[in-house]
Amino acid sequence: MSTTQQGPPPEHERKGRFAQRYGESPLHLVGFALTFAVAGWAALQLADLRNAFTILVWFAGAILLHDLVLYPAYTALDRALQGAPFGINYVRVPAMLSGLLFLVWFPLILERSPGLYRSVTGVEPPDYLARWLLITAALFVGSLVVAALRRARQPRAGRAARAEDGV
Amino acid sequence: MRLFPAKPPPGPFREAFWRSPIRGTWLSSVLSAALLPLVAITSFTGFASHVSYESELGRNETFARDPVTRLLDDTFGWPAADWLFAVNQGLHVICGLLLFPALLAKLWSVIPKLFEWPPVRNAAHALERAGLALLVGGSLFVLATGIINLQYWYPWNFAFVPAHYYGAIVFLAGLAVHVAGKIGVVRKTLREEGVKAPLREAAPAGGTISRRGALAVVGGGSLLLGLQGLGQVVGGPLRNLSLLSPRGEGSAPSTGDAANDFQINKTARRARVTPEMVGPSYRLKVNDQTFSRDDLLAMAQTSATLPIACVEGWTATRRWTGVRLKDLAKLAGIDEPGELYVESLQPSGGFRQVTLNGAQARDDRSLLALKVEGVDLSMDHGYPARLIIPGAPGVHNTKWVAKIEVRA
Repeated sequence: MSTTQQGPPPEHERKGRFAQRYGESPLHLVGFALTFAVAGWAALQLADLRNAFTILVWFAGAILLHDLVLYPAYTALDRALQGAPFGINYVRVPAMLSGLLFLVWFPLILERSPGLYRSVTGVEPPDYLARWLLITAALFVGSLVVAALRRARQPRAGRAARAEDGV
Repeated sequence: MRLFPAKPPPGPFREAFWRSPIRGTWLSSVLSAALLPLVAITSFTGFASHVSYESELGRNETFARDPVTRLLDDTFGWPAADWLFAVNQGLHVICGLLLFPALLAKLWSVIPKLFEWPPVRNAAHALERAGLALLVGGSLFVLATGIINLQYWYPWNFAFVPAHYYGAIVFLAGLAVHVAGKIGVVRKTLREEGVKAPLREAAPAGGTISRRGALAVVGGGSLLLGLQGLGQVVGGPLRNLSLLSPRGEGSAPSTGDAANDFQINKTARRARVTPEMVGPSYRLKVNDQTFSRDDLLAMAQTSATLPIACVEGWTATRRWTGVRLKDLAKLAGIDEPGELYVESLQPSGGFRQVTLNGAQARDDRSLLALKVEGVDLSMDHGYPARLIIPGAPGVHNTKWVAKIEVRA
């Protein structure tokens, strides 16, 4: 919304009767009508499918799971870390990356279907849990090394500053 | 008339509930700018992937298509271009993985809006919020089903392909109207605040991480996930770095038959193809003629280095040797085949048969392969003979071929 030198005119002058009742311009309504028409049409293509209702459950479930489970869980975890006596990001960053890998690959990590994996690929599923734990350990060790390096550099910088000050 | 009290209830409906000072229009805008091209590539390659299956031919159709999809299929053919499908699926899966952390970050940055007060201001606002449900639900649904499908886990009882396909259309419908409404804000924010300047700032007062730090974590997550996808597409030493993806390190059989020890899409056992079926009594039927495997080996042999590329975003490139499909068509008396119907010994399953288009049937590199890297194919790779078609979806490279019908 751009403003002019004189400032915007009062709302009842700027908006027509439609906008006053609807809240936005008619174009807005056309856009959303199209959106729901297309989305509704796509949903109808699925309606004849076997177990179509489950698709709806998964669709709504995805929102609920993210907004009411995943988000509160990682936020609570993050807040619990905030009181820690160390630089929080050295824990938070590797934890987030490890958590992300788990979130994406948990079906393999937790061996949700080793039988199908075996019969499709012809090989035993690799030990994904061990791999994920190793990657997680590497991320935390890497973070620790960065923390140690930074700490080692800081006092020296401090000393140098003091020397320049003639202390 | 007022539907909701003016004062928001306690909890997330109040601004003070949301603590992070790095949330805001700038962060949301940067994430949107990163997401948009990734979504565009993932969507385009998704529809291209559908086109590659040539659903309009024979019994290739994998789900009951609507008229618009049929028009799409009738309009676009799929060329016999070596790397086309491998690159398409690689991009689809890798970009899907890359955008996942950015999507989670974007949802994190805008989640206070879920609890905005009043929940509904007017009709337009109600529509916007319903549209966001399509957008958020659609993006999470498509990504979740796609990512889980990669891992051979089917915790649902519906058909994956149509659900993923039409779910993506629901998502894109929600996205289109969202982008139309918000692109002005994103451009204005990035123009006025700049892209680089806010990145140089330290963590804001009361915050625990800078915006630069937060974006670095998102980017790092994307890189970690992208690497998982990249290794199984590119192969070679990069594959060893794909430690968590289904077709990365350790996903190839080790039988000692080095030429055949590469990724299998479906074992003979799973396809219920037995050694008896491929023994000395094996005959390939081409229109009204039959050939033994020795007959096929006695024909002119052609070699081609081509990838087998799976829709799930993994590739195995090998040197295949066998008889040109074109030459087989000639034996059947058709010099310029228009279509080729191919059937497997595999007794059941949607991909026990395929119909190839004319470009695929006539290509010099389209083979009925008998060998890989100079060695007989193993049972799991389709012995006695399998199709190798440049640029075709992996499952169209039919294994254990029993019958070919050449059509003019």
